[in-house]
Amino acid sequence: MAKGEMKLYTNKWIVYGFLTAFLILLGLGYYSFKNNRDIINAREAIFLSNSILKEIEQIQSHAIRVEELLSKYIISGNDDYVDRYKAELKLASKDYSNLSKLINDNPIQLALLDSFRLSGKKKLTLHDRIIEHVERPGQEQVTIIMSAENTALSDKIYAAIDAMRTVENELLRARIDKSRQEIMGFQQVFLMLMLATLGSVAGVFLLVNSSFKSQLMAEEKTKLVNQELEAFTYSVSHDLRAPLRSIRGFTEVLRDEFGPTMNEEGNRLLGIVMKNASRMGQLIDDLLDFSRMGRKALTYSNIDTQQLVEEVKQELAVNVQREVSWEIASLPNIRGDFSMIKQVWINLISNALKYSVNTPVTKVQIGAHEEGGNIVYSVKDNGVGFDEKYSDKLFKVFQRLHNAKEFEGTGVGLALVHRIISKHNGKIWASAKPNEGATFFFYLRNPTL
Amino acid sequence: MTSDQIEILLIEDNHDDAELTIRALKKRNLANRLLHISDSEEAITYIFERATHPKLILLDLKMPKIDGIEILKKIKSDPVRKVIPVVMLTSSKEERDIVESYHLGVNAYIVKPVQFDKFIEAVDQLGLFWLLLNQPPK
Repeated sequence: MAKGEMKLYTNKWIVYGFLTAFLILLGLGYYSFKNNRDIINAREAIFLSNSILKEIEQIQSHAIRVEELLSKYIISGNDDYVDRYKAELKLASKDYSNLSKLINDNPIQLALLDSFRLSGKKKLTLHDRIIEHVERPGQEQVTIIMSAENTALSDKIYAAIDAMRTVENELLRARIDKSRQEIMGFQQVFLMLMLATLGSVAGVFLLVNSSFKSQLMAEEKTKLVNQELEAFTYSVSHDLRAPLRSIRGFTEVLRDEFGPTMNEEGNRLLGIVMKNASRMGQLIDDLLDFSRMGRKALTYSNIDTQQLVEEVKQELAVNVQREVSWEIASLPNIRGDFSMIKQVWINLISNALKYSVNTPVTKVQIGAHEEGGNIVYSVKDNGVGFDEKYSDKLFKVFQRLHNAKEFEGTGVGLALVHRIISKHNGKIWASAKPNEGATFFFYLRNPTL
Repeated sequence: MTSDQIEILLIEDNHDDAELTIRALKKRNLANRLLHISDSEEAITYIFERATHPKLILLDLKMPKIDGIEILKKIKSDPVRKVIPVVMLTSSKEERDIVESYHLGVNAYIVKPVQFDKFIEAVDQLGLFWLLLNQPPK
């Protein structure tokens, strides 16, 4: 009992340990999932800032190119420059729309971009005046280019671009910092949770280890108890039998050598001594068999019941001097320990023969039927039977329902049968009526594989 | 009694058992040249210090100091004396004793029965008489 409770106690803590480790791992999983998502978002924000900065650079270079091309047109009067100017503007407008898409969640940048757009628009109106001029460009165009208005617009455009760049650079720096902090924070938490998991797993390991150890110790203890019992049985077997042998042996010698000179009463008394010494010898032997059976391990094999019963019948029939009518039905095979199950059949059949010794024709019926998924074997005789109100005593050691004068025996046989069948997870029971015979039923249950 | 006269050496610490055994053998006229030694050390000295050997050794299994199994081991591992037939006498029906004795090369095994006449039966079954008539192999 104590062992079972201790095991339960240990198991409880093992379960708690595993549960803790499981919960921590679950938390760790959720946290790393969430953190990973944050880190990805931060990376994307950084990528966005970089893209925005690139667009800003491109817009700036377009702005420079546009003015450069226009100046070249004015100086050379070559119309090719106008075409290239227009192409450049087209590229610039594409980059502009890209940029406005990229920054559409940032109102500061949008405002700056808007001021860039307004200044740009005004500048383009000025430029249109230069390009739309029909004749070769001359002083008028130079005046426009050199005008304070144009210069102011250029300044505004570049200022807007610079401001946008500054804003975005600051944003980028903040985003990089945030991402770095997130990664570091995750590393710390991860390490902490990891250590906690390792701790609880190590704890569980120690618990499992100590549980195994205590189990092993309990097994050792059982082994030791068994060894002690074995030693006890062994010495009983030797020491108790030796004096008994002397009592019986010397009484026999006494009877053989002095019997003829003693009177009848003397010889009768010697007979009683001898009979009781023999009986005690038998009791000791039976008790030793019974105790040995309790400690014996089962060796399962497939038993040919039909053949076994036939064999037992032949062996027992040799010692029976009277007529016996045998009825043996078809008996299915069963798994069990061969020598033990043989003992069961020997004891049951020899009982059937013993207790029907006074009937004119002894009838022994052996059969088998199925009941609740088990093969139930039965041994029926037409002997003295017994009163069923005593059936609880039937399988107890040294309990007898008949006295030794009527039927000899030590009261171990059925106890042994009961023990063997219990060891096979089976059941034995009997039904009987006084003077109308008895039937013993038993089944074995196969070991669960 | 000189050593060359000895046919049966009985090694048995229990004097009552020894007496019963000798009586049983006498009943079959087998105890004419029998020596009983009750001390195991003395028995070893007797067996190993003489040039002539008994034709048969009856050996009790459970004895103080050196038990029967030990003596059997000594006899059966001696190149000369291992041919002496040894019959083990024991009170026990313990399988391990029987198995161990046979492993050590015992020639026969008698579980001393409580009933004396059964012992005589066992002696008969062993064919000791036959054993004593025939010379054991050299």
